[in-house]
Amino acid sequence: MQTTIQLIVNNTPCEATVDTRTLLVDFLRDQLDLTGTHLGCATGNCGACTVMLDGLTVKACTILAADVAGSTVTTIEGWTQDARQSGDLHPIQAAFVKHHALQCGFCTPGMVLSVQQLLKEKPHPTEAEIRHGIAGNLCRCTGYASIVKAVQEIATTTSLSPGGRGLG
Amino acid sequence: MIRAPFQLHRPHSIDEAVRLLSQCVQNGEDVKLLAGGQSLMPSMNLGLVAPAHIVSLNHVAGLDSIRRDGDMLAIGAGTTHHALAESEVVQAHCPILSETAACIGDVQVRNRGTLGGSIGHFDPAADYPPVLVLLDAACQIVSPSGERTVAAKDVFVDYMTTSLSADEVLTEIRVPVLPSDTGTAYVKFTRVEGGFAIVGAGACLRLNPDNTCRSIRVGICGAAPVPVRLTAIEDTLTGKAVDDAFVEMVAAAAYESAHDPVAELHADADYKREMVRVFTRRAVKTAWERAD
Ligand SMILES: Cc1cc2nc3c(=O)[nH]c(=O)nc-3n(C[C@H](O)[C@H](O)[C@H](O)COP(=O)(O)OP(=O)(O)OC[C@H]3O[C@@H](n4cnc5c(N)ncnc54)[C@H](O)[C@@H]3O)c2cc1C
Ligand code: FES
Ligand code: FES
Repeated sequence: MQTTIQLIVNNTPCEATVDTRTLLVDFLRDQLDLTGTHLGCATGNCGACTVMLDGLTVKACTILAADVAGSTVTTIEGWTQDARQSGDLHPIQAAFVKHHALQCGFCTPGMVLSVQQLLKEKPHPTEAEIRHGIAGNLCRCTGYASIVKAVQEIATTTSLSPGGRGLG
Repeated sequence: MIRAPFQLHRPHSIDEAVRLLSQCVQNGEDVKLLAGGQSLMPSMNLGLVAPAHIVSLNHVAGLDSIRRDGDMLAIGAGTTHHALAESEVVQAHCPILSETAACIGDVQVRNRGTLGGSIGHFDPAADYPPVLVLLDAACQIVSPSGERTVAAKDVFVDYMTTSLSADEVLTEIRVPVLPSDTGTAYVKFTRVEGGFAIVGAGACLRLNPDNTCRSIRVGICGAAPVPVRLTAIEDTLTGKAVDDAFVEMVAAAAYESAHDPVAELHADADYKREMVRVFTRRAVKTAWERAD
């Protein structure tokens, strides 16, 4: 069964015809070529497919594209748009690079979005809160220690005050 | 992409949803409701279930409301775990429910998964069922022939089986406003953070001014295919002094009640039974610490 959906992806309104069986992750990757969102397990466990749906992180392999018509989706590509334009790395990206918080990079797009959500809600998280905040994102390479360090550094160095660059 | 084809329906009202469900049932076609998809979609991706029709509840307005109705809280079935965990009303009047919601899965699962979906799916390791049973929660169910209210303990009938039929929609869950001096706690034993409970235990305790037990309620998952409530000991212990021996009596009763734990990869039945004792002890102790 085909259906036409309209939604906003990375600030751009889009209209597309999808098979109702299409998962949001497949729609983003195969129909919109936004391959920064990864598909790992397709069972909601690994978090590689994490995107923001109406401002909250979700696992895009657990959602039907046709069921989120009318919603706003932000993927890692949309999130780094500003950084790409200015040539600077976003503070979260810079800290990940500095602390070797990625190796193969497969988990990284989802991990970064979860970190962003965490810091929006808790600008100064404890280590336990950081680990709690990224519990839905599996990383098979880093052992998490470097990711935790990166987040700790962002939390202590980045200004979240109005006028500061912030983490938005 | 899910392999098996299905028809997706996106009704805008509960009545429309029930009508669609009953049409499918009458035509002998397999139909499933879709809420947050945190249980249904992984099963469909794996090909474990392949309904011919899916009726999404995500376009029905108002299914995620939380309101106080006298001495009850009325919580819409579409309320997400995240919303329940963060709700000030729930934190204030039924804190065990927000504590339970906050320990389900991970951030993304809580952002999307719903109370109604957890009840409808009824995983024997799910966290809400034992808590709803200990709270004497009531479930509001709409069916083609009208509405009915069913006590939570009568919803969870057997391993992964509820008393809801395929053409019914759970719309609201009602839990009591707990007196403010109630100490409550839900604790769970998991292999890793974000995992399902191997064992979960919830307790609500009220004290009399002389530190005797005014009332206690305990609910446990992992002890049997359906949630276990320690009704017999709850009555016996009313009026008894609350001390370490009291906590041990509840823990021992929990161990006795765990007559049929479902063995799993990470925990055989004997081990689970022992963990029922340990985690019930922790739940009651914590509830005691929190009781005024
Ligand atoms: C990685 C991961 C970790 C998890 N960890 C936990 C955990 O620690 N503890 C825990 O308790 N759960 C856990 N879950 C399950 C999670 O809580 C689900 O959100 C929940 O079980 C299903 O809710 P849903 O809204 O996603 O329902 P869906 O998946 O959409 O639906 C589940 C079932 O319920 C039925 N249903 C949905 N809504 C209704 C309704 N209103 N009336 C009648 N039937 C309905 C559907 O037809 C379907 O059969 C986890 C899930 C994942 C993916
Ligand atoms: S691919 Fe979605 S959680 Fe693993
Ligand atoms: S960097 Fe390889 S999985 Fe995380």
